[in-house]
Amino acid sequence: MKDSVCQVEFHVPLQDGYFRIGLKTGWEGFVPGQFGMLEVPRQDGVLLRRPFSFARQLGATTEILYKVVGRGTAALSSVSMGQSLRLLGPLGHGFKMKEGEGDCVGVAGGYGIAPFLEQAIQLAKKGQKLILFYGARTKKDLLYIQELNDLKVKLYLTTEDGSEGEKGRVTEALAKVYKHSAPKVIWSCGPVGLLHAVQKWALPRDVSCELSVEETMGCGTGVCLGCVVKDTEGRYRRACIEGPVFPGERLEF
Amino acid sequence: MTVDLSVQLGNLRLKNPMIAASGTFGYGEELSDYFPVEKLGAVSTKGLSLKPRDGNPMPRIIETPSGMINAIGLQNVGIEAFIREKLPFLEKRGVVVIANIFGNTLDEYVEIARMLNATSVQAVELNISCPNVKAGGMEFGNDPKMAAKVTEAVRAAFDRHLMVKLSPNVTSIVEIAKGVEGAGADSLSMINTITAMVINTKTRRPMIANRVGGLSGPAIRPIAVRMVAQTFPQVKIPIVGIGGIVNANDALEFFIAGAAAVQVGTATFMAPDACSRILDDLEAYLGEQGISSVRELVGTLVP
Repeated sequence: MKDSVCQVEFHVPLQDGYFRIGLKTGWEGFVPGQFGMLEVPRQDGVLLRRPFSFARQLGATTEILYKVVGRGTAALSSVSMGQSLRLLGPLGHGFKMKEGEGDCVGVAGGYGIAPFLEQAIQLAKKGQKLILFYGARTKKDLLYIQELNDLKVKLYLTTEDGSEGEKGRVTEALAKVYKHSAPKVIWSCGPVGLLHAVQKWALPRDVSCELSVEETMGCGTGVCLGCVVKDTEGRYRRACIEGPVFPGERLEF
Repeated sequence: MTVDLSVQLGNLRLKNPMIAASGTFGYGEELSDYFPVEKLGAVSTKGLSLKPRDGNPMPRIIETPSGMINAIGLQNVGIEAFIREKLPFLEKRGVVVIANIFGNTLDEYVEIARMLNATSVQAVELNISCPNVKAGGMEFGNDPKMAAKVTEAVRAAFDRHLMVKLSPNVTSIVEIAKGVEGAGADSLSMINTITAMVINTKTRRPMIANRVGGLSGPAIRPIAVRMVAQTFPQVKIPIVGIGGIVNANDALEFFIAGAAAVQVGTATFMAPDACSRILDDLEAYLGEQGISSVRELVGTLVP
């Protein structure tokens, strides 16, 4: 990982307060699930960088998906193409590939979709397929659908209000599809309730699962101790350097 | 021109006045990928207790306007693991180590200090001002007599430099400073964080699990500068200025107010190489201004 000044190559508003921003990192790539600490303009009393999961690598440019939810992301949304921002990354541990036969399953909630775009790209390069259960509040919160379809991802969509896909929770769709069989691995990224539900489904079935946690972060380097999660031994683990992807059996919700 | 950055804090000589503040620099190793940590005047470690501590539940941090509140609760590996597993890295790199220590009781402070006395650490920074733990901490820092008592006890147990970190959450920081000086402290570091709270108006709950936490960052800098300026004429021992320094100009304010050295904390969260960059900028500024030593600036506030 390193801290570098990156030029904004593109910054595209999507529906409903979501944005895609491309930063010229010059990286060859990253492991899906890894993230970066992005400087945002220091307006309105903003002080700290913001953690963002990377969505995909396009040549020398790394794409981040975000939604305006507070002061930091509001400040970020005002950034123009050609401006430069400091980016620290790629940070943390991403999703691990798993050898052997069986389905590779992703379970995404909301903007937890980000790492699955790159995951789908990397799997496609290996001739493998991603089966993705993707849940959001409404149709407007479903992102990258075109890109995922282009990558031939098998998509199961759910929304809480039924405006797209099945009405209900994404883990209900997972349980329905895998009623009589089990995938070889589940990768999940989204709110804590979703991760907990995935863990509760996977562990009793002996399905290997990896969970990417979303925590408030101060520094991204392991020194502020502000992003900890509890493991099964009752110890606090730093999401930024020990995660953000943890083996499902190690987390205590 | 060449600038002499070295400073003398009583019996502790530092090659420059830049100290990484406790709780923002881990045990030194975490940030060594970003710049050579031995470049700094010194590193103050994460607060060390007698036994390892898990710290507080989440959420532990929240950003506030130009600042942040933290309530980590002194999560640390404990003094034994520090000496065994963390100190060798700092020794090997030739870092001047300031061990920040914290006790629940007077005896615990003394025990930790005694253990450190048998190591190579050049200094102890007494944390009598942590707002985020229930016992000890601020209890010692709030009362001039208690502050003096713990300073005196640790003084007897540790032979080398003894720095005492003062709490701003007091009626008169000058009284505490004088009490600590009288009890044998070699220097004062000030200020620790300011007790603070943020409320979620929808849930009507505090945004930090510990309810309150310590405010740091540029938001507290004017308060810290005022406290240093107020304390400087009242004590003879050197002061290490802390509070929201994010650039060289901020550091200069503290020197002029009376600080002989500075600690940089929250800025390290904003950029892992902040201490290094601020030090470079400070050196460049002094050179441009024809100031041959940072010592020339200390306490030059116009009356």
